Amino acid sequence: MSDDKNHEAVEPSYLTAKKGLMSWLITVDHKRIGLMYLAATMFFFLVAGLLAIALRTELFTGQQDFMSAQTYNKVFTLHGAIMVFLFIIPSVPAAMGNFVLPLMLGAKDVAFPKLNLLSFYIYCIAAIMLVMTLLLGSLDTGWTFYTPYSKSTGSAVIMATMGAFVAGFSSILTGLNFVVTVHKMRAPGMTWNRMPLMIWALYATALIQIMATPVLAITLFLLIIERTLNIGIFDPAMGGDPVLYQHFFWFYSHPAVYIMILPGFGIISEIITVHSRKHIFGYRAIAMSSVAIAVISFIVWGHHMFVSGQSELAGVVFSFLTFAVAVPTAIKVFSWVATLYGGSIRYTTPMWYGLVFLWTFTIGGLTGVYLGTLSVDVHLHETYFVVAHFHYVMVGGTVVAFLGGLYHWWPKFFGRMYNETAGKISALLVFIGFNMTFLTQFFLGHQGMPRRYYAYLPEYEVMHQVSTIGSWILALGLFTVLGTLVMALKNGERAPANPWKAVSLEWQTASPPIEHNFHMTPRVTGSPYDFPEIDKSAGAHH
Amino acid sequence: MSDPKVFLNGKPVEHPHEDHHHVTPVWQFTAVFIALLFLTILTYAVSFAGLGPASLPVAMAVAICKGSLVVLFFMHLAYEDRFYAFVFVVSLIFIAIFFTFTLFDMSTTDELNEEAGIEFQRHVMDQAEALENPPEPPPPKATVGLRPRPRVRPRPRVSTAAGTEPQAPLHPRQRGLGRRPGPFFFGLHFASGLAALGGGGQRWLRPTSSLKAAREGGYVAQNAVGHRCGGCTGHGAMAIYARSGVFAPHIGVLRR
Amino acid sequence: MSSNAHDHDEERPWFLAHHFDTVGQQMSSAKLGMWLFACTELLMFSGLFLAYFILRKMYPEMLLTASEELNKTLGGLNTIVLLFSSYTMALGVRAAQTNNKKALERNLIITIVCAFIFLIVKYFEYSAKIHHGLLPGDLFAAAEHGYHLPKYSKVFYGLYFTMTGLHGVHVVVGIGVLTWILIRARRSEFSSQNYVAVENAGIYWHIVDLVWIFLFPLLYLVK
Repeated sequence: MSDDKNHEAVEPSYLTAKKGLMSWLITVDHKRIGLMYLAATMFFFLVAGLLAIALRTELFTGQQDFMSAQTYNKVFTLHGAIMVFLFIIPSVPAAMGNFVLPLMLGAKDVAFPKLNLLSFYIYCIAAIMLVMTLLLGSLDTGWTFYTPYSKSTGSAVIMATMGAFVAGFSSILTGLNFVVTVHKMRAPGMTWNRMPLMIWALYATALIQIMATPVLAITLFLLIIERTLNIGIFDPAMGGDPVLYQHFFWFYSHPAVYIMILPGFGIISEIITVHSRKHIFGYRAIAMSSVAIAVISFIVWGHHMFVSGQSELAGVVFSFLTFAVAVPTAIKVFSWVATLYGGSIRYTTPMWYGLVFLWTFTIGGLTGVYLGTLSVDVHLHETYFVVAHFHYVMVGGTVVAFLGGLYHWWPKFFGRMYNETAGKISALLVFIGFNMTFLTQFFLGHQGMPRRYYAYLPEYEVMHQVSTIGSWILALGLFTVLGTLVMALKNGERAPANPWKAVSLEWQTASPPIEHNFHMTPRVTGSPYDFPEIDKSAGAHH
Repeated sequence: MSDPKVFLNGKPVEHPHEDHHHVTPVWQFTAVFIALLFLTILTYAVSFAGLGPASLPVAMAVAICKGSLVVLFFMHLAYEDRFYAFVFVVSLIFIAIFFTFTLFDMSTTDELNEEAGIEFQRHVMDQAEALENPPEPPPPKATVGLRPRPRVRPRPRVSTAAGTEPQAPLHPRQRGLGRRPGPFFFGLHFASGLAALGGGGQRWLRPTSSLKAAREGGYVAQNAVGHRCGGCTGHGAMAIYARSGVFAPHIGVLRR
Repeated sequence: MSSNAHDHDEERPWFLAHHFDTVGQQMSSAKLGMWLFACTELLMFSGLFLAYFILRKMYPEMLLTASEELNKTLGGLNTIVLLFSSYTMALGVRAAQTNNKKALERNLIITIVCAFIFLIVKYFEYSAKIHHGLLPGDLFAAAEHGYHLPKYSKVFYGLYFTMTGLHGVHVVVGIGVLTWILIRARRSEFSSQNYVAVENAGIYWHIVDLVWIFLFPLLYLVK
């Protein structure tokens, strides 16, 4: 560590190596691009989060309060579309992954640095397009753009689908870059079985991005043509098949939900093992389950279409296959719990988020099995149960993991420590607020509350109000996160190179890292989870 | 100990700045091109032979041959790192998955519940006919919306001549095909219900019970925004809960 | 212990980017990236092919009658043009591998010319279709031009224009890529040690060819 101090005097960090706005805008440094992604995705998280608060506030009473039905449709659509395409999909891989992936591999950069920057600017164009829909009369189809409604509605479907289309290219480029980087840029000694699990998760994610996103591109392309020229592939009135659209859409979008959650799994694998000072339980099982999830995610998409007019036989087959996803997912959850068992757990903020994740994600995952069950889904479909389920996975899973990752790597990003107490308060607020908001929605959905309505029957009022109050607490928690991290930048303590005493390579260089990541190309001799205090003779190997 | 300077994927590299690749002789490219030319002329000529239903498999077989030649020789896949071939094959597998499941769905529409679907279809059609005199083929809007999807017997799909379109084209999905399902699929269906909810979930295993109740009560399903959306998953503004205490979250506004 | 990131090794060739250690690493990275990109192209087109098969399944008679109106001979001619351009492209890559700058330039130029011929033939095909009102969707006006085509024929023409149009866009992009490679070849940037850009452009061009190999029989020939 003292070594790094000396070097730091000699060589400036990536933050200070070059100065001026242009040095950021045309940078090809993966760390800077990662931070630019981080800023952009956080901005859209804020925007879409505020939309969510507006929705929940409207739902405080059963009548119309301050949004008309049509406004409500537009707001929830924008909330969904921004959250999915501009926040969750790029958040962990493109923002956090960009920063840590080459560092964890011991590489100087990703394989195609210019492509990486291009991917960021494509993302920006997509973001501008999606935001432009606001000016063009907004969008009221829901984020899925189902035909034939997306064909007949007067709202700005073309601009929105163009935005999602372009965002897809950004996602493909990131995925492509990551796969090549993992294959070709590993440091000496970094064999596949010595890669940190975050890398495995990002690798599996990248595979999905490459294999699934092109189908989204062609789907949206066909939709745009359908809407402009009426070619009639998806529109039943013209002789097309609306269910075909759903097949196309979900062939991408079901794997895409694993683009959203897999990197979260990676973060949790890192956090849990580092902060419980114990070698990860079942390294190979976790690594392989990431790849298994990526593959299985391609054969289950029909469970989104149980009541869409898909053949019942296909529904039965898809339902059966859906259960297969539960196996690798359960392997992960059990391995994390087994890692905690007997570890010397440090209740740092990242660890708090890790524990929150285990709670919320398990609920989200198990309710997913309910919904994957054909006969149960027929009843729960299109209710708040579905809303609660995917928020438990997306927010309780990905966002919580993302926040944990932010706290975990913040010292590495900026070389500053955050305030632990404030961090823990934020975790607590997020936990309470989140569960208040969405646990209630399971009950609402079970009682028959339909999703996507601005008004409801009086029977549902109490639960809705609890949920709304929970959403305010959740928002408070998220603003606490923001405050804590910004304050850390302003007057946090200087972070040492390796504050968590971790073994993986990103901690073996200065905080923040130098421009070329490492002074000497690191050489890897063992597992990234062999912590120095582990008694090797006790057989802690896997 | 001589320490090699550079590594690739954890292995030392002796001559880092040299790289040798397979160079294909020109005659081989020419031979491949002639073969491609021959296959093109073959498939073109065969198309005039009128093979009927066999023409698709024949044309696809020729195309696959041509594609393989291009990929293996022009794109050097035969001589490259095996991993590229692996990547390529994986993408073909994913395409196969995409095709198989989608076509599977399309060809098994109405495999199950055929009778119930037809019965229901007739019921709705009768109602629509009673409402609208003179009797015309009912527009799809009036016939669809309730689960299970309305179905009819296979319609002869002989195309009508001339560019004029009939008033109410029946959606191709509304055709009825298929046979009675075997016990295997019912078993799967049943097991899927049990798997998540355990024994107590059995009451859920009658997805049509609420539909039946709605039907007996004389309700007609209608989308809240006045059109059908490829199932009720279409637009969000699909009303879901029924008056009259019928629990039918997936159906739509029920109106008498 | 190992190579220092900032010691610029004197042996390093000029074309080796700073974050790579060896030429082999740089080449194989670029090639792997290109193959992955090729896969995304295939998956993207697969959606259109699937739409075609579904359409075929839904309206077999319509599809057969409507596709009769396409010009098989022009389609066949275009196939041969594209196959020939693929052949010259492969020869171009070989020329780069063997340090044969002249042959590289010549083959690239032939390939680009073939691409233009393809587009010109396509132009004649399209203008015939437009002239006869065989157009996608709302623009479909075949009946007014005396055609008796089955119902939903406009869906077939929608798909025809979408598939060949997207393929045509790829040809146009290919012309741009090959021109860029040609300019670089004229600057003598390529050698037997540094030709991966030529090879990647080649892979892209063969993918364009590959898609056409399947488009041609399905749209023009199959009954």
